[in-house]
Amino acid sequence: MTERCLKNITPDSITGMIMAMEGFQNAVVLLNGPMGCKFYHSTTSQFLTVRPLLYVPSEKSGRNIPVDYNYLNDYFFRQPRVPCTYLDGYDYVYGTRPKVRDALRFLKKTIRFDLLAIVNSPGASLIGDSLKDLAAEELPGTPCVILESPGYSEGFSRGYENALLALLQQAGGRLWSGSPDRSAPEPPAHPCVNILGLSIYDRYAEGDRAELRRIFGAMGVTVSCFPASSCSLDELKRLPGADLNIVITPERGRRTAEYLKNTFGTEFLVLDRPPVGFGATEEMLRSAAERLSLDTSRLQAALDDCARARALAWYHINNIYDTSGRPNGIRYAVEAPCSWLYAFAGFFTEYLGMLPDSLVPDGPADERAEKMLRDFLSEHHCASALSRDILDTDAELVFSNANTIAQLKEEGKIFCGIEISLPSMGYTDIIPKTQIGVRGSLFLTEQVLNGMMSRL
Amino acid sequence: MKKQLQIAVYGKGGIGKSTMSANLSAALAMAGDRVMQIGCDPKHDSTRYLMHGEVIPTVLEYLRETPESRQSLSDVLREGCFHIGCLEAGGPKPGIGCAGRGIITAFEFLDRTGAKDPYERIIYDVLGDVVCGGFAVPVRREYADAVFLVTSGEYMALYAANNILRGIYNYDGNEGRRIAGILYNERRIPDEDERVRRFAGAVGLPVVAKIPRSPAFARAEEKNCTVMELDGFESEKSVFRGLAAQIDGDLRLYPARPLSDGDLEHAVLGTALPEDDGTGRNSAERQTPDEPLSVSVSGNNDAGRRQESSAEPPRRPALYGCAFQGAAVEAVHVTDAIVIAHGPRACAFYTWQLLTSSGRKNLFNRGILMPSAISPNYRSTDMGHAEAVFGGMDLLKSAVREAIARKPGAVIVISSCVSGIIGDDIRTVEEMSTPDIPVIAVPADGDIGGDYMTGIEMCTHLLVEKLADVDIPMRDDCVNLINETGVSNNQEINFRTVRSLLSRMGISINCRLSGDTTTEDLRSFFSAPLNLLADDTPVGRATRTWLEDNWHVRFAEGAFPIGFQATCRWLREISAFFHREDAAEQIIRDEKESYESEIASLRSVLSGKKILMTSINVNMDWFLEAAEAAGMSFVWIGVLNYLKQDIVLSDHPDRYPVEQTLDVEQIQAKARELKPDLILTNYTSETGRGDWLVAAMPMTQVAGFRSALVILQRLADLFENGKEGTWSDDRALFEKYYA
Repeated sequence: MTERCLKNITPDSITGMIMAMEGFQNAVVLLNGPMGCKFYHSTTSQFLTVRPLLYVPSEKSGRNIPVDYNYLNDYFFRQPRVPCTYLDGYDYVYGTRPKVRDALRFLKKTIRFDLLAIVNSPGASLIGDSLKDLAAEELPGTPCVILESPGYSEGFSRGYENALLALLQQAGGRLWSGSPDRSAPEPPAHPCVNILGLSIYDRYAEGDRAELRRIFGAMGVTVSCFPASSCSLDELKRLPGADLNIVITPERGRRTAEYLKNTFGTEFLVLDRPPVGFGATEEMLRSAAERLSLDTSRLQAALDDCARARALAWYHINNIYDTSGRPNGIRYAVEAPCSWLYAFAGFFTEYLGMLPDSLVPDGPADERAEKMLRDFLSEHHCASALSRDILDTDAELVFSNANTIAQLKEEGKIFCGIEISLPSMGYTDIIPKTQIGVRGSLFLTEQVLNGMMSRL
Repeated sequence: MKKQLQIAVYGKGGIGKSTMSANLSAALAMAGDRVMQIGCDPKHDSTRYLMHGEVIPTVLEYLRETPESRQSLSDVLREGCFHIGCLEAGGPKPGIGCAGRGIITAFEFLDRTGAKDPYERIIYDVLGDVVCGGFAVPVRREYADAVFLVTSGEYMALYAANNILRGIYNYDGNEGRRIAGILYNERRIPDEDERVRRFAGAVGLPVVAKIPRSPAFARAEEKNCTVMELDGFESEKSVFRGLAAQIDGDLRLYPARPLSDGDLEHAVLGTALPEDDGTGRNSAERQTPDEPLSVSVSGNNDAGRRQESSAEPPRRPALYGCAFQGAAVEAVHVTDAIVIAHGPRACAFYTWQLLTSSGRKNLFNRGILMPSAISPNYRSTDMGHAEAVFGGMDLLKSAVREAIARKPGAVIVISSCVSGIIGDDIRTVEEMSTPDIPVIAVPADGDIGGDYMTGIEMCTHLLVEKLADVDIPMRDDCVNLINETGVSNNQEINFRTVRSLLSRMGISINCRLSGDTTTEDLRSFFSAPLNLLADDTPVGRATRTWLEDNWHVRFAEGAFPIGFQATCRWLREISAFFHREDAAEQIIRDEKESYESEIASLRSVLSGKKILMTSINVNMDWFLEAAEAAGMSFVWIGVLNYLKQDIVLSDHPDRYPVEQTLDVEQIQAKARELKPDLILTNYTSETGRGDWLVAAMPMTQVAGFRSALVILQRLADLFENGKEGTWSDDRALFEKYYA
């Protein structure tokens, strides 16, 4: 029998691309690839986002019926998200353009959408078919982005940001060039910010967005747009009008912020760490307030909100600490993108007094985020946590995706697994939750307190 | 008939390969050989001289225009001079598609149709630049037995020849010997003879023929024929006759020993040149300009060529899933093997999610740990851009070496679209097998190999072929289980049910093919005297037929039994085979009493209820009969045949008339017309609202005596207590607030 040889296989750049484009409301993401590449993305997007029901013409009567009633529909195959061109061996030899053209005509005739993205599968990308001209021919009035190279085995974040940049570069002219678009929405109330680096693929995407709107709102700042995270076309059009772009996840947003700075002159703020925990949230609010030159009173309103939450958290932590001395000294493990790893480590170690046992970067690291994480761990004399495989951890609390948590369970480890990224165990969240901002800090605290094995 | 010899003629573009190939083919044919020449260049003009100017249809153009069912070799195979069989592979238009993949496709067609079988000598005239794995296909070992390199003394021609040697070396390493030598096509540049001689010496190859620069070739071109057909020019003809005699005689073969770029320059040019002469160009680019040959084989003369067809390509059915994923799901059931997905991580990720989703869900909902669905021994080579461009075999070999070091029962390698398209020949890693650890290649090539089901079949076949020991003694008390559906939630439950029934008859399970198994179990596959089909699916039936036809194994008639009667029949059949009839009858007696008692109690609730049923399931008599026994009746039965398969829902079509439908509106209309008490369906949302109950029919069934009872009990509960939740009334609200 083999010893364990495998780690969790994580999504790569094409999933990042598709999920970034699925992060635009009323967009159609056409996958130019075989059906084997479709099912995961269609199912995942459908469950991660709430969308209007999709109607397509019945194959029999031509009347509009829900897409999941149509058994043999050529492009959706009963799934309302991520239609695909179902390429086969023939198309790899003779080219994919005929199928893409047919699909575009079908989509144009069948459904109304604001934005089209065509994403080549890795196989389709090898043969080099030119699709931009095709999309321009077939959909002359629609903003389109053609993602011809999905990358091969590159990280999710890389694919996500490549897609977003391609959208801005390819469709930006249609959205922003020349005189103001007559259909462009009114500019949001100032001061306003865009939030870069969130995705519908995050574990609690909807709750994250709501919390950021809430805490920025508490200091009178409007969030104009979350590009690629449930963003409408109108919101996308407002992108250049923001006073500041705030990069929550540098792995997914730094290059976009730089592009927007170069194109529109919008200043940007790359957070040292995402707003996980009270301290990081307060840091974010202070930095944003400073960059936006807000009155102190505005900032104070937001900080007061955070202070009330700290008070609540204190009460519950203290109840447990009083009898068990915990959560001090509890060992924890985290698997996350490097910048998030730093934020989680900061909250768990500095605020809750827990000890990192294993910290595993998920995907290529942002250079600055990695350095800050290393410095932080050195300062706390626990740099060895970075070299410990999460599957070797003996931590009492493991913050990761459900695959890693299940693998550890299967190995007989005794711990509490807390999901911070996808895939999940299968729990359907209807009430939006968040692990960021003020409420997210409370939720994480709640999860830690409930996850500890013994209070005695 | 002589033993077939396949010869590839490679060289730089424009060097005269087609001229050499055509004259060589002619010389061989004149010597009495049955010869075929296959042009492997998208320009498709290799056989022009043999066909006296007639342009023949290309294989790829033909395959594009012709549905598979109507494809015939005779439509593309032509007979040229001296009865030489002439074929042109062709290729896509420049800038579109993947020409390399085109070569692969054409070769697959030739193999499928047995095109080469009648011939003794096959000449492949191949585009000289081995730009990708597809263009290297002709030098794969299953094709070229011998390779001639055509070159002049020009540096770039020799450079190309050296590159070809590199390509062959990648296949053969230090062991193979397949190079027949150099065909020196004279260009009359300064020092040419010496350059070719030095190159030949450096790479250890003989110059087997020197083709002099001669007006004969221009003359042949004018007449659209080979030199061998001209009057006169005996010295030129004698070169090709001599070459043919070598091929028909004792053709000596040599290993490929390519030179490094530096060594090549040194060998050919005599002295190393400065890196940069101030022009910014490297030494190679400073060589003699590339003059046209006296015999032009490429040319720009498009007259007479076929125009690309504007006809619409034939419509092909959509492939559900891909062979790669089917093969991977099948392969991970060999729990002591390591399965390597050769492709970008995305491919492995989709399969990983498919495999682990049931593991996560079972852990979350039921607290059940399913090791093979949580930590499958499955990894990806993570092909990157470099591998996509330059080939991924080094990466794959490295992954196989790492896997072997872990001492698994076997290593199973599966190719994705990307590795398939670029022509990575994953079969070569089978040579890395050790005495204890077989390496098995499954060339699924993503969905190029077919759909999900094809992948399962492909992998199943290879596991049996590569692992099962045909000489193993047969036992008299065990069975194999075949085709336990990979992603069924009931797989483990059904296995336990069947194992229990068999155990009560004193019969053990030898091997689970398409269920969790080991390499050791697969090795002893043929020791079981009887095989039991688990799921009666198309892929299950195909596997059964394949095993019966190729391995002459014996199967029980029925699949895993669903329902009471089928379970009785199944037990009796198996017990008769093993002479355990008494044990089977005892089981049936024990179960019958409780079954009849439960049906009787259900009758009080279900009797008189009318059912409208739509189904994607097959062989539903077990349920139809049980429902009738409980007093229910069927007002209409529709089969949702969206995969266009042969579906038999009942063996009693007179008693249970069935309509095939794919139309939801028809189902809803039937419901309004017939007013059933219950709609039973696999897709509950399609039934529409009405004064009826809706219940879901499971996609996969529980095996054994109680299959129907489980469903009928649920229906009784619904009739007694259940009504449609009022939540479903809120669809309109969703449409209002989320439109």
